[in-house]
Amino acid sequence: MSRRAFLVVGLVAAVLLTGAALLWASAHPDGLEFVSREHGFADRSSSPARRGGAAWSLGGLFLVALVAGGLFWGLRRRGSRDEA
Amino acid sequence: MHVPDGFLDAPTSLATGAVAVAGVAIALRGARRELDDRTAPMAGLVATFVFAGQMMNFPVGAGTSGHLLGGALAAVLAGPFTAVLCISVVLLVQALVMADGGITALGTNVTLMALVAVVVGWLAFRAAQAVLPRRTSMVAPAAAFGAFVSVPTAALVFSGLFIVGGTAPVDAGTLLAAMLGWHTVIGLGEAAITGLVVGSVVGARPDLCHGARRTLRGRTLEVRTPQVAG
Repeated sequence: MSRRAFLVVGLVAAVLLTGAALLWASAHPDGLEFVSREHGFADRSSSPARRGGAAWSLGGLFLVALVAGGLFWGLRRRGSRDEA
Repeated sequence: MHVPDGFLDAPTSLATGAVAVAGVAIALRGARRELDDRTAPMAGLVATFVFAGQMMNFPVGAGTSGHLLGGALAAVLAGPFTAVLCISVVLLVQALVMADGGITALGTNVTLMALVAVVVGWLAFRAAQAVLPRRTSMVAPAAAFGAFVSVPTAALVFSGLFIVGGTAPVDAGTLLAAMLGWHTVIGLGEAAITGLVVGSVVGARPDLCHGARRTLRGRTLEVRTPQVAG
């Protein structure tokens, strides 16, 4: 599999995973939130509710790809040890 | 395990903020050694994939769910220093854009998930690798082990932070038991996902998996000359 094909497959997988999460992810609170409710400190949270929905999720995904990709491309040592 | 605003008091939040800044600074330097033309796009993909994976909550018990943390996964695929940055970018976008994890809690979340989980996951992975046969097929199981250890360890550190600087009184023992209990189970899910993903990458392009490099070095190229019959 060429490096380009690998990257495309990976990105498609990330998008599909996001779609699957939007459809099927459990609505139950995660471990920390659950424990905080059981132990009476959940009300200490002053954070707003998490943003969901396809637009925000896909937008966030795109932003991570952009920021991370840009950061790592900028940090890299030029050239590579071998070819793709 | 995204900590919201308000769980930890100001001194604790500031302290974890300082730890986070120091950790990211070290990671920025160390990542240069891990990133080149070939591995940099891969590292971007890893961060993207972890962001997506963190959205997929899976049920772990009555009324509770877990989700991928991705610290060990990122470390094995992209290298530990790069992984710190991968998870940090994910947490940053989550806090600023997704309202997932408080902005004042960003230092805490970076400390727990980008530092503790990554470092512990990577070290546990390397420990497993040292014990297992040095073969490419052993990378995924070792990664799964690293992933399994990383999650409850991060939960342990959170518990310590909350006992020291939490904004509500809790019984230390019960908090520890609850956090460790749930996050050990969640760690199993983390291990399964990590093993699967690393296994897929190693199957397709082992040279793009940082943790598999050691197993690829010294693989001799076998040249076979065909015997012409008759």
